Amino acid sequence: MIRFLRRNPRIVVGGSLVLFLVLMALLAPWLAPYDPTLVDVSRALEPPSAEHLIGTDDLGRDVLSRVVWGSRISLAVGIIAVAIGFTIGVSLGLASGYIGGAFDLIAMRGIDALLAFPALILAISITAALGPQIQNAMIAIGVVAVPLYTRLTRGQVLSVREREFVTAARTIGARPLRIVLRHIFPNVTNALVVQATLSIAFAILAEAALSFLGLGAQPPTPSWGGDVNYSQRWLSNLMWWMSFGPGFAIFLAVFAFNFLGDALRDALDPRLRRAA
Amino acid sequence: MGQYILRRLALMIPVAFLVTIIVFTLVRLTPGDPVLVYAGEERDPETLEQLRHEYGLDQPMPLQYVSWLTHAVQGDLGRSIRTRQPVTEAIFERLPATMELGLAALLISVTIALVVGTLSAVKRNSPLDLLATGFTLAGVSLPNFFLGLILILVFALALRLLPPGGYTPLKDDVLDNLEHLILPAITLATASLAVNMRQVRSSMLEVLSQEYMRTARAKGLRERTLILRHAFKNALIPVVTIVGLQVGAIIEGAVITEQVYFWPGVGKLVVDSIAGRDYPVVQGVVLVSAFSFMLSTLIVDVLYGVLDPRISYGSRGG
Amino acid sequence: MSRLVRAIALITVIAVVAACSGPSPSGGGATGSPGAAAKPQYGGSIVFALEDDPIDFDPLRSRAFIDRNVHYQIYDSLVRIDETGKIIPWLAEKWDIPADGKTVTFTLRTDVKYHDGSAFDAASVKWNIDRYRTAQGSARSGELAPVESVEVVDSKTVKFNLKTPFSPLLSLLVDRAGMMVSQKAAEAGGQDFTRKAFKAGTGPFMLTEAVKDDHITLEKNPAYWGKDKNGNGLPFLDKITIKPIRSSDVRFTNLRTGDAQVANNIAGKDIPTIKGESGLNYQEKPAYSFRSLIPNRAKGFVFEEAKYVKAVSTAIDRKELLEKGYFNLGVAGYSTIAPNHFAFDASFKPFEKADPEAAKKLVSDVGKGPLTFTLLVSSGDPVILQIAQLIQAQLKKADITANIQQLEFAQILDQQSKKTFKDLSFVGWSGRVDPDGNTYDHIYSGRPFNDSSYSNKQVDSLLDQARQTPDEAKRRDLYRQAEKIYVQDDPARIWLGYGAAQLATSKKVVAPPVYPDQIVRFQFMSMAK
Repeated sequence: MIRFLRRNPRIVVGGSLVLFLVLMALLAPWLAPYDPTLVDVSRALEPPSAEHLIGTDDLGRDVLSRVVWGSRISLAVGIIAVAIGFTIGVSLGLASGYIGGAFDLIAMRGIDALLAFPALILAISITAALGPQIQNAMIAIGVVAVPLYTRLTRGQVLSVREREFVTAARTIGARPLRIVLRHIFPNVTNALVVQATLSIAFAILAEAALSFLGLGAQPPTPSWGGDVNYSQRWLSNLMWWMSFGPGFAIFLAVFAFNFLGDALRDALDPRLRRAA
Repeated sequence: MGQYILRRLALMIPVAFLVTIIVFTLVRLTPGDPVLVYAGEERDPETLEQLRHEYGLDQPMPLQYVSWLTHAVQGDLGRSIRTRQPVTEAIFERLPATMELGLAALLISVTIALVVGTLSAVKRNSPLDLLATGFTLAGVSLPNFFLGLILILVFALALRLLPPGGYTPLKDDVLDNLEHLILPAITLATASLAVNMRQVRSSMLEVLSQEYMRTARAKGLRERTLILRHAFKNALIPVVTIVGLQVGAIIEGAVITEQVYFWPGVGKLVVDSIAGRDYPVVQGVVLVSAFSFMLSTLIVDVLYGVLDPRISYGSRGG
Repeated sequence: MSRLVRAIALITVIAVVAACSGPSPSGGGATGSPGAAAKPQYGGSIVFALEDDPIDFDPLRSRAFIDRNVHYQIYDSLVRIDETGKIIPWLAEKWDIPADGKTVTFTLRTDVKYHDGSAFDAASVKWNIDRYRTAQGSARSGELAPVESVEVVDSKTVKFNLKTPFSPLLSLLVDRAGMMVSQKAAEAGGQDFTRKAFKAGTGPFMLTEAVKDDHITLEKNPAYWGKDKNGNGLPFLDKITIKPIRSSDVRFTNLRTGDAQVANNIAGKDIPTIKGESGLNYQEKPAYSFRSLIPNRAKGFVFEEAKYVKAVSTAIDRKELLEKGYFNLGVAGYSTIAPNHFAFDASFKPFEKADPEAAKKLVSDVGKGPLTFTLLVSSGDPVILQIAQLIQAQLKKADITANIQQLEFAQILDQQSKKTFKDLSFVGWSGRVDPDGNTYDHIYSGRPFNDSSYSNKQVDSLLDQARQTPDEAKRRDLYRQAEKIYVQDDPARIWLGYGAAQLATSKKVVAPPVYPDQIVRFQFMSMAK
C-alpha cells in the first residue's frame, strides 16, 4: 500500500484534498467559528475582517461558518447520489451483460433513452417532480448517473464473459450469480472505482447547480450552490465575498475529486490512461 | 453503410418512444397547475375551467399523451399555455440565440484546444503541458454559474467593459450582439475546452507513438511537417467525435449559462417553462433536444467511419 | 431562476398606488409633465427596460399584470386615474350614477378614432363590453359579472345596467375591462389578432413590431385625440422600444450606460445608488400592493387556531423587515387597505411593535406546547428567501419555530388553491384602485383568492354592504369596521406592508410623474431640451 502510494504521489495529493474536505464536514461544529444560521442583521453585509474572515451575508451570518457547514451537504449528496447511481447502474449492467438477449436489448434502449435526455434538464425535472428536497436531488443525480455505470459494467462483462475462466466456471456448473460475483465483478472494480471518484465530482457539481436553481437543500441549511445563488444579487454592489466563499468551495471540492479520480485512473487502469 | 444508417434510425424509434413517455410522465407528475400560474391575478373559476378545457387538461392523462404524440409526429407540438404561441415557433425563435452562443463557445473551445492540446502533446511534460493539464482540470471543476459570476463581477461590474447580461439579435446590431456574446461564450467554452484539450492531447500522444510516425520520422521528415501533415489529421478523428456530440448537446450545455446571463435561448425557455408548468413547451423542447442529441450521435458515428476506414459497420451498432 | 420565478409570480410583483391630492385636468384627460413650463419638445425615441416580456396584447385574454405596460400605450379606457389615483374622464367625458346605484350612464368623446380609422362610439363600447363578458377564454368576465346588459342610448351615450349596485365598477373600467378595441380590427384578425402588429386601439401609440422576448416597438399615433394641460397635442415621442430585461441589475446597468432611458422595478438594495447617479432621476410613491403571509386556517391545520395567527403577527418586527429585508422600499402595514385608498386608516397600527412576550403568552394560552410550522416560499428567489429567514429569526425570539420550505411557485399556487398547503405561505397582491379589489376576493367566504379558507359572516356582510353603497364616507366606515375583525380579532392573514411604485429615468428625458398603478404614461414623456 505504502509503496503503491509512493509510486503515485498524485493519489496522495488528491487523497489529502479529499480527506481535508471529509474532515471539514465531520468536524464542522468545532471548526466553524459561528453558528451558520445565526441571524444578526445589525452585522449584515460586512466585508471580510479579522472577526469574520470571509465577511457576513445580508442576514449577518458568518460566511466562513456557512462554507464549513456546507461541506456536509455537498459531500453527502456526492457520496449518496453516486451510491444510488452505482448500485442501480452496476446491477443493471451486470444483469444486462450476463443475461443478454431480449433483457439486454430492452434495458439498453432504456439506457439510451436516459442518455438522450439533457442530463441537467433530466435532473431538474426529476427533482421538481419528486419535490425540491435534498433527498430528491440525490435521487435525481443518482438516476442521471445510472447509464454511465450500466454501460461501463456491461461492456466489461461482455469482454470478460467469453474468457476461459468464466466459460470454465460455467461448464463446471457454477450458478450465474456466483459466476458474476466471483469472476466478473473483480475485473471491473478498478474501472468502477475510478468512475465513482469522478462521478462524485460530477454529483457535487450537479448538486450545486440544482441548489443554484433553488431545488436543493432548504434554507437556512448552509449549501454551497444555494448560497451562491442566494448571494449573487449582491455582486452588482461589488460585495463579492458572500458568493465567492461557497463558489470557491465548490470548485475546490470538485477539483479534489477530479484530481484524485485522474490519479487513480492512471494508477489502477493503465488501459484507460490513453483514452483520457 | 446505408443499411447501417437505416438500422440505427430504426433503433432510434423505440428510444424516441421511451423518451416521449418519460418526458410526459415526468412533466405531468410534477405537482402544480399551469392554468393557475398563468391565470395570475385573474382567478375566476369559470375562466380557469375554460382554459383547462382549451388545453385539453381536463382529459384523462393517457388520452392527453396519445393526442400530444399524434400531433407531435406530424410536427405539431401544440401551443404554449403561457403565451398561446405555437411551441415550434417558440423554439425556432429562440434557437438562433442558443446556436449562436453554443457555436461561438465551441469555436473558442476547439481552436484553443487544438493549438494548446497539440503543443502540450508534442512538448510533453514541459511547463506548458503541465500548465495546460492543470488548467484543464480546473476548467472541468469550475461550476459554470460561478465562472459566469466571476466574469460578470470583473468585466461588467468592476471594469464596466462589457454588459452583465442580455441579448441583442445579430441582425439588429452586430457590434452590440458581439459585446453581449463575449462573456457567456467564454463561460460556456471553459467546460468543453477542458474536455476538448484533454482529448486533443491524448489522441495526439497516441498518434505520435504509432508505428507509422516512427517510420516517417526515420525517413527524415521534418518534425513540423510530420505533426501538421500526418499526426494532426489522424489525431483529429476522436476530436471530431467529441465535438460532434457537443454540437448535439448545445441546448443542454447552455441551460445554466443562459440563466446566469439572461440569454433568451432555448435552455432558458425550458427552465422557465418547467417552473411555470408550461407542459407543451417543456415536452417540446426536451423532445427536440433529445432528438438533436440522438441524431448527432448517429452523424458522429457515420462520420467516424468515413474518417477512419479501419472501422467497418458490420460489427458495430446495437 | 430568481428572475424566472419573479417573471411568473405576478402576484408577488408590482404595485398600484395613489397619493390622493390635486385636481384632475379637464379635456384630453391629461396631466402635464412637471418642469415643462413651455412647449415640450416633439420627436425622439427612447428605450424602456421593462422587468418582463408582456404576454398578451388583447385585453380580453390578458392575465398578466406586465401586459398593461403595453395596453396603456395602445388602448384607451372609458375612464382612467390621474397620478393621485383619482378616477378621471377619459374616453367617457362624464358619467352619471343614480342614487340606487343600479345603472351607470357614460357620455362619450366624439373626436376619437381607432388606429384603423373606424370610429369610436356607443355601439363600439357595447360591442367591447359584451365581448369581454361573453367571449370564450375571456379573463374579464369575472370583473364584469355585475353588469346585466349594455344599452346604446345614442351614438355618444351608453348605459350599463347592473344586476345589483356595484360601487367598484368604475375602478374596473379604468383598466383592461374598460379598454376599447376596434371591432373591425379584432374581427379581421380573428382569435390571434394581437399576436402580430395590429391597429385596434385608440391610444397615443401604435404597435408596429413585437418579437417575443426581444423587443416591442410602439410608434406615435399622429391622430391621437389627447392634449396636455397646456393644449399641446400628445404624444411627444415618436417611438418607444420596450425591451424585456428580467434582471434588476441589468436594467439598472442599461440605464446607467444610456442603453435605456426608462426602467421600472429597481431592487431596493440599489435605490441609494440610483439616487446618487447624476444622470438619473428616480421617483417613488406608495402603492396599493400589499405583502402578506397566508395561514392555512382550514380544519386540521396548525393555523386553524386564530391565536397562533395572532401570535405570529405579534412576533414579527415589521420595521426591521422593511429596513433590512426590503431596504426601505415601500411602507410597513397591517391590512389590505393601503395608504392611498380612500378608506385607509393611518391610526390603525395593531402590530406596530413586535412583542415576543405577548406572542409567547398567546401560544401558551392555547395550551398545546410550542408552536412549530412550515413557512412556504417560492424557490430560488433570494429577495423572498432573505425576508423569510429574517422572519424565521424574529419568530425564534418568541420560541416559535418556522421551518422554511422552498417550493416552486406553480406548486405553491396549486396547494394554496386546493387549501392543502402547510402552513404559512408568502404571497403578495399587486393591488387595485378600489379597496374592494384588495379585499373582497381575499377575505370573503369562498372567494377565489381566499386561500386561507377564512370565513367570518360579519366580515362578509360588511364587505357586501361596501360593494352596494355608492356613498364613499359610508364605504370608508364599513371597510374600517371589517378591517378590525379580519386583521385583529379573527385574523385572515398576516400583513407585512405595502409596496412602492417606481420610475427610474435618464435625465435625457422629461419624465411624467410616477402613477399609482406603476404604468408609465409615455404620452406625457418628452426628450429634454
